[in-house]
Amino acid sequence: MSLDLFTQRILPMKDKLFRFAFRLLQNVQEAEDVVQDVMVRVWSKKEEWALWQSIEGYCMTAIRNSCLDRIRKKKLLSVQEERAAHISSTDKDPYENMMNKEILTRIRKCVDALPENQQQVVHLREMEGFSYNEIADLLNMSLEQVKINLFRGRNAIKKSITKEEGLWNR
Amino acid sequence: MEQVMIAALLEKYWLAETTVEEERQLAEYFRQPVIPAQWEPWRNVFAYFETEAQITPGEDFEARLLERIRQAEATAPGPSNSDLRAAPVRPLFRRAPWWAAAAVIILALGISRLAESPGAATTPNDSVAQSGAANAGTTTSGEATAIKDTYDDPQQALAAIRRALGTASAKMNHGRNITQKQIDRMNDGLQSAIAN
Repeated sequence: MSLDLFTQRILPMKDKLFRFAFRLLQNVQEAEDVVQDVMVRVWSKKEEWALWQSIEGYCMTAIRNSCLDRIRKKKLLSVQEERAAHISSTDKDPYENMMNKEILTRIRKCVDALPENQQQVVHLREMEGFSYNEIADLLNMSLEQVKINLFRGRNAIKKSITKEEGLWNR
Repeated sequence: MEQVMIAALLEKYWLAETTVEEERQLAEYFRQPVIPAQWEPWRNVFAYFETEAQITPGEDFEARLLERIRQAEATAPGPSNSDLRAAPVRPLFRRAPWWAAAAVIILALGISRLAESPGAATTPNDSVAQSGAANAGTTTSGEATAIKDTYDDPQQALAAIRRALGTASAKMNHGRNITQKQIDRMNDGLQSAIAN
């Protein structure tokens, strides 16, 4: 029964967890390792699942803590090539053809260079569609802090595009 | 009309005041092939987020994870691993202590039943009866021997019973004589005490 529950409710979160881990670690292998460790840990606590307010919230928090722990232990290097290899599936998307790859690279570099809190808030909101409340709970910050970090993150991205092209459009 | 709405949404977006639903509308709008030229750069922003949201772990990730869970289950102790392996055997009496009580009662009933059945078991009373019969010199007295060893001739049986009863009577008379003597002695003592 627990394994069914795990495969139905927890395993499908693996992509979301992986993306969050990857956002923080910027390394595919390390992100996978962290997600695996967290999911095995979650499985080992299956007797407690019913007591958790949100399994997703627990998993995301565990991912964040594990990643931050790893980051503290070593200085990470940007691995842009590795990232590029992993998003190759989107190359077939016609949407991709409309994108200016140079601008895309600029956005990516900008997001990677954002302060940690802004990066996490932008990721959780833009990539995963989390509400402000969910982000606040997950990152242990106030709603106002969430909004400020998102505001600053978005505007940093906006500037990264407009700075070089001389654009400032709404 | 749509452009006015999108312009308003964009303004809210950069101020971080849009809802999740409004952001979904913006993303949908920027998927269109043709949009005003001044908004083209923002297409890339929404496209970037969408691209990032499609990143997934390696294809074998799930298989490796499930294998790790199976391994963890195989080594972890405890009764809660029934999904992946057979449930561990629990001590019988820990699981149902009343079984022990039931077993004791059944055993007691069995023993009492055996004790009641003739000749099957020896109780202290039987021992006394049998030793008494032996002392009386009768091999045919006592329940055990009577069942095993009956007489074909009624006359022999009657004679044996008379001998047994005679012996018992003699012993009983002997006991009565002793008791009578004791009572007489007590009466004598009492009368002398009263007289003094």
